[in-house]
Amino acid sequence: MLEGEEKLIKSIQGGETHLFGQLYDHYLPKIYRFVLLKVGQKEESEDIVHDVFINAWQNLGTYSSKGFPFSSWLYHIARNKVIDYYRLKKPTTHLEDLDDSFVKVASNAEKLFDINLDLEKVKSAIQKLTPEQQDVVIMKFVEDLTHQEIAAALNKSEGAVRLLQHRAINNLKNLLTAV
Amino acid sequence: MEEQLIKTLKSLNQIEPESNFSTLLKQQVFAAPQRNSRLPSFSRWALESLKFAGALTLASLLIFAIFNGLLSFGNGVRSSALTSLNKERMLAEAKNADFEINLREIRYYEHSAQEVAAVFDKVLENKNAL
Amino acid sequence: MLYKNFNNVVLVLAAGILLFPIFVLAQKPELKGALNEIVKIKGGNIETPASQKDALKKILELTALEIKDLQSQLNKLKDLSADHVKLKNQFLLDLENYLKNLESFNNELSADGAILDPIQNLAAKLKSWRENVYNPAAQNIVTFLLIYREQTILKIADDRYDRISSDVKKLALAKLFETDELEILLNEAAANLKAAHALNDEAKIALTKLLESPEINNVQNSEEKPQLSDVQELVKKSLAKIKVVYQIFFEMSSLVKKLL
Repeated sequence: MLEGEEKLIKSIQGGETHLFGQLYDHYLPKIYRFVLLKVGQKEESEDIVHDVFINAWQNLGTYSSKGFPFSSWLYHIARNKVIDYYRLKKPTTHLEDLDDSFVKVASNAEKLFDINLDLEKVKSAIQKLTPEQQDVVIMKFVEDLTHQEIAAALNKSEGAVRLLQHRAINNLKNLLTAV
Repeated sequence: MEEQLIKTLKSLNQIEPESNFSTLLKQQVFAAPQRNSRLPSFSRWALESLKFAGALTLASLLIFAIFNGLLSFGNGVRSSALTSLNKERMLAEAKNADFEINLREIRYYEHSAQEVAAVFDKVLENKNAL
Repeated sequence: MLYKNFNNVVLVLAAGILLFPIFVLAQKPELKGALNEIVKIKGGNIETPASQKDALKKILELTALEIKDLQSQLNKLKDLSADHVKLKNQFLLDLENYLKNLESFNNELSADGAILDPIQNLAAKLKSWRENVYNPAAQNIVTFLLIYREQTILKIADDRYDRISSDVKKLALAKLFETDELEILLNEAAANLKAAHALNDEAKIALTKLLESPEINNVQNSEEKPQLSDVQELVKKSLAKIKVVYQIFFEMSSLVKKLL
């Protein structure tokens, strides 16, 4: 969450629309990663992220923070856009389809950490999870959202989110040991 | 392994969009018209209050009207769920899915072939011995 | 009261797995008895013509019982695809021919008296027939039967899933408690069932390809022919998915018990 986020959003809703840039700068990388890890294709992901932020910008007036964090609202929009994408395009997504820029950025990350697990294998394994399991894994471990935020984004109970998380990790472990 | 996996997942946090894309999208977003501009705060408060009061009234009526019906429906649903999720029956069904059990027939014919081959070899040994 | 504790569940499962093969063989006591006779002969003295004649006779009896057992199992199969109906009929025809082969071997055996050379010539012929004709055919047939046995298991799992799914919907409507965890588990069960079906279908296709006639194979010889072990492996993976489905059902059962 951005510091002073609630106040910031109220100001934007009150007419100080230029402040939306702060929300944009904070959330763009998160939403981009979320979509890219689910969809796997850079260009398609950029299109989806474009739609997410246009939608958020145009409909910020309808957002109300009562028990529903802004991040959850934004992820909710992103999820729906990804679902629409699959409904319309039915792509066959494979890790081989990822272009160089995606791979380069990820391999920089690999150099920073002393990890045995191949980043490419993990990304490929994420693609094989169910959509809900992908959502939880990305939101929880990549973006470090709380269970409460994830539950709000997915319109589920916190218990259901924990169960999805548990299943997703087990499935990832099975997928990675089978490789 | 789980620890390493989670570490790897966290490292995916390094993925960033290209700066060209970020800049261009920001321009496009600000250029797009906004919809659903916020109502003045008093009107908003009034609308929210009305919504809440209406919802509360409706909820009370509904709770009273359907309470008895729900009780009997609930009991029926409970026993149905216990039946479909009966552990003993599921255990028997699950047992049938054991691969080794299903493979017994194949193993039998392999075993039979081996035993018969051994007898043939013994019979034909004596031919060579003559 | 309806639910035993975890330890009892494990004991019942273990007992079932250990006892099941005995149960299966007990259902075919004639086969078991005939094979035991062969094992006894193997361990004994078969140097005299009479004992060798007896050994061959027992092998012919065992083979006839096996063929009849395979015919009986094939005739019980239901819900076959069109290709597999043809395959089943071909198998039945082959088995009929094998019974005729056995009759012919039996006639030769009876005619030989107790002379060593003809008996051993017959033994060599019978060995060659068993190893090159009968054994491979039997393995194809039992793999075919395995695929359809698995299909039956899949149907039972599908029925169980449908019943549970219907009850989860009713629970959701009744709003006695939150059912989203049950729905998550149900979705996972559905995904595993779908995968199990796909693997079973793959096994059927692989077996069909394996048993394709040589003429067809020459035309499509760029594709490597699957082996029986490949087909069995597909069935093994499919059964593993079904077991996961039941594990999920058990988890749902515990969850419902907790929620109720």
